[in-house]
Amino acid sequence: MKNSLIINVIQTVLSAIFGILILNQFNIFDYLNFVPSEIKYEVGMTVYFAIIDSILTYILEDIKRKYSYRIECTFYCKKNEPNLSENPIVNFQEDVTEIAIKVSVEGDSSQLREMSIVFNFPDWLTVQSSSEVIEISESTHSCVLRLNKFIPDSKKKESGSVYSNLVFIKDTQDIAAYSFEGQLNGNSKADNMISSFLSNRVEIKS
Amino acid sequence: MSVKAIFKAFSKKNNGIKNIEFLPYDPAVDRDYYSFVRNKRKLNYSQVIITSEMMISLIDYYFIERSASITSIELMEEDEEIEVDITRILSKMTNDRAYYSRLIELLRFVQDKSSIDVKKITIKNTEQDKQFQLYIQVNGLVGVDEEFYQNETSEIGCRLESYINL
Repeated sequence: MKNSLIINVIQTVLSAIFGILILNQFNIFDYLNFVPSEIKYEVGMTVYFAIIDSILTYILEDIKRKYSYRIECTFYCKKNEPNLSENPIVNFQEDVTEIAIKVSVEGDSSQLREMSIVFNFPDWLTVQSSSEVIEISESTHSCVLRLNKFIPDSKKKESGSVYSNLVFIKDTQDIAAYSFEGQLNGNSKADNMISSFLSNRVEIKS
Repeated sequence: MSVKAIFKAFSKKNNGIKNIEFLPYDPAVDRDYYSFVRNKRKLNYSQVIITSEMMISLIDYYFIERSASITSIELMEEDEEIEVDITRILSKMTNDRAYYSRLIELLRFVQDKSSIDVKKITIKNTEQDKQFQLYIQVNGLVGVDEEFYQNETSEIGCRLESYINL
């Protein structure tokens, strides 16, 4: 929402600047006699602004179509439906607990396949997953969900979802509550202007 | 046929492959369970969670391949209806092994709701020369008669390794 507002403002300012620059060089309405001379500049300004704004909108849409992506990482309790606006809380029972994850993506496959979602954990927690899309790194206390594990190498726009889960066992009796969310790896700040990555948070309690 | 020894499943990575090892846990010696776990973690062992899927696979092995009896199944969440169903099916299975498919169907239903809902299973092996009782818990604890531990933990470990090496 914030990004699209910024883009709209920049687009409007650029349309006005280019419109004035071109209009100062060449105003087609100077050659049209039916346009009263006292409003030729205003008419030129209105028409040039509209044309340049349309061109910029087309270019931007093309860039968005080719390079934008939308990724949603939703943690949820297996008994409930995934809901990105809810932050689930899970409790240990017999030292173990679990959380389900739904990852939905939409975007250019070449770009998506370069990305991964990382989950970091404290050292008092051992993580296990039966999902083929998740790699667990015990040395860095993290898990990586690589999008190339389920997005085909089609070189075109793809969309899809993958469901997986993480099970945890605590290594110590008294633990502080710990919360985490998905973190996207492999994107740049420029991508963020036209793309979005959203993740809810999960809280693990004793 | 009493359970004499307790072991805990740990995994350790060797050449990129996780191997399961069952390390002895004696509550009389290792008074603090979590100190025991942390000491093993320092030796690069990781705890193993025996998920419901793994439990079903172990039930399958003992019931089908070893003709053992499943004496009890405890669930994590208290659900009286399912617990009654499980007890009823287990009791019918002692006379009619065909009820096994009903048990698996029920456990699959439980597994759909939670991957760790099977808390503990107890198995009674009645093979000649190999009569023992065994329990397996979601937190990786396995209790078995000491003289059979080597063979049984090796069989269990073998089956669990396929789930932790994807």
